[in-house]
Amino acid sequence: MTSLVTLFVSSPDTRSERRFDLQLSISRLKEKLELITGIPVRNQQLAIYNDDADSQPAKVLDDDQRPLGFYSPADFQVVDTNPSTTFTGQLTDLSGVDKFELSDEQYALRQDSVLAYKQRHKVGRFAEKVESTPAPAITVDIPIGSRCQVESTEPGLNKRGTVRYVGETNFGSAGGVWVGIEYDEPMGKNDGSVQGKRYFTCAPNFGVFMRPDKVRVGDFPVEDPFEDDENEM
Amino acid sequence: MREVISVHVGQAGVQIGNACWELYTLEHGLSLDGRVERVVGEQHIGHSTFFSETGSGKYVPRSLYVDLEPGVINEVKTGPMRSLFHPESMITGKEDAANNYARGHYTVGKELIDPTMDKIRRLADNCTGLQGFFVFHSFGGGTGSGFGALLLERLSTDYGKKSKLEFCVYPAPQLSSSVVEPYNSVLTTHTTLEHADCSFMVDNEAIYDICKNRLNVSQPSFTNLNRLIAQVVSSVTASLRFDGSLNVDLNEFQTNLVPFPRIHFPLATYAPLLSAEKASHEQNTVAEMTFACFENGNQMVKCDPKDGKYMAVCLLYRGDVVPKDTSAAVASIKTKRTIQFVDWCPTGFKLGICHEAAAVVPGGDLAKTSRSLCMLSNTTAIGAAWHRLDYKFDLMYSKRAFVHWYVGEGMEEGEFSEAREDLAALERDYEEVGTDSADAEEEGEY
Repeated sequence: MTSLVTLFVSSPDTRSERRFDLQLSISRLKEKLELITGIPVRNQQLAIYNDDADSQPAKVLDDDQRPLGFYSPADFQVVDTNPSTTFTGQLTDLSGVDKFELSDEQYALRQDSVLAYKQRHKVGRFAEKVESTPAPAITVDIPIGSRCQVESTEPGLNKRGTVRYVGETNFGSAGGVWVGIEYDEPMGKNDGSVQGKRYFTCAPNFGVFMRPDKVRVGDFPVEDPFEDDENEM
Repeated sequence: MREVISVHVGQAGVQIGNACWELYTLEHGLSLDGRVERVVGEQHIGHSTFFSETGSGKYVPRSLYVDLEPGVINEVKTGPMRSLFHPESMITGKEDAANNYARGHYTVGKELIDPTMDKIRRLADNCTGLQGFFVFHSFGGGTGSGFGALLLERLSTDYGKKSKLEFCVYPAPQLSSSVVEPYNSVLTTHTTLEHADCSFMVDNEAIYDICKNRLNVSQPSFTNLNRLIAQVVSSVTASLRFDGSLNVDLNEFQTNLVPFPRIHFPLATYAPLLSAEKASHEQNTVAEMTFACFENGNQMVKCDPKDGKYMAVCLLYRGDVVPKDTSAAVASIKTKRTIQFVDWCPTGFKLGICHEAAAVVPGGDLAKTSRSLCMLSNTTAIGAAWHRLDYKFDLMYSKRAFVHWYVGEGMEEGEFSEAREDLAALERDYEEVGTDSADAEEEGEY
């Protein structure tokens, strides 16, 4: 008959309620704990503290040959005696890690996605418009390659760039003409492709699509965003 | 008959199973060995959904317990419910899954899957109109994640047309119970995504906080957590077991809650969450319970529905509740809370009443009340749970931490990236679901 004990085990990266057989040797216990705490057996110190505030453990389960039951066990901590060689403590802080995201193109390629479903069934933003007034075929006189400026809600900030695309697109439910712009600064929303279709190519976040009435074409040279700062110095 | 088979996988699955079946026996007026103690409803109609009756009048759960290691199930075999379960409905192996999805899914799990499917076949043959399955497992454990996924794959192959619903324990966002939980969770979610029709997640930390802060349990143990989970499970399944008006069969859950196959993770919310000493001082009206279900503190997964949009809301009332009060409560909620629905799949509130009040187990933390409410809502806010999990996966995978434990069991690294991409797509799916037609129109730029 096995005798089980239920204990809370904590380590720098984990805390859990565990059931152990009192007959289990400390060395076998440590093998199990490696898979839970991520701390290699050779680095493990199993310490029982009477009080969280105590600096010294009341008991250390250090004889590998002894069964767990020998120590009249209580909730214990797994200490990593040499964390410089392990992952201990590095598994919580997310800062400095880039979260993996699918690009628009990769997402658009998937057949089982909600996007594909909406497109296939023409629902949501892909629904066919009920009113059938055809969008007036406006001729837009914006040559590709022109310099342009887009009106901005922020005073003092000019969003300038170069026209890269003019024409109809697959996005937007109303149809009509869109102007694709490559900004001088990364103030845009894409890299020239939207919802999986590419209209032009530029660096990520430099590309944007606007309606023609929001775009002014003319002599808008590239601005140095740090010009003002230099003047102040 | 409309039978449902419950399969409990791994330590979490089995222990939640114990809490659920203890509660079910109470609610159906059965003793812990399956004998009738009290007649509930009209001659036990509804019993047969979850129990089979033997010639001698004993009721046996239509359940299967599976664990790769023997410890947890041995405790059931010697515990107070030992004569409730059919001895052949408990399957154990010799070697545990060591918190490793690869062991549960491949090396160790493959030894146990055929005997498991045989037992399920015998349970299914004993049904006249099997509706489907409830699979209980954790995301974080090796058996729960690995073997749970393997089981759902096989159920999908062998019982393609039957509903497959899951109750899954999602790892605590703040503190892991093992370092590899993010790996196991992402791998199991990827594998089961196309096989499960509807998955109810409970997040260990949300349950822990409810036990601690609402039910005054100073150091909640698995027993406390599992009893609370069982209470939610009981409310979700009440309409299948007793007369109800909403979600009375398994595929209705899917119809009412899942507008798109991959978006099948409804958020469960429960009220009232009252400790025994407080209960006698509370009125606990239908309106109060309904409002409480829109409070974050009553949710089974930590996320903020105010940030999201709803696709569907089912309110499952139990006990002493009349329809007039429920409609009034919903009308009042609509005027006082901003509840936004996505505009491309029009569903509103769906209300159901089951007149059989929820029972509570003796010595449990939750007070017995004459009425209760379980809200199931499909909200885009639960996408935050995937975001958290995926980010932790990336933190570990960027260092390739512990990947060799999986490779050592014969898994290829490609399975990690394939699973992670699928979960990234799931996050995008949640965003896309919430993108209304109107959003695109208002935006002047792309």
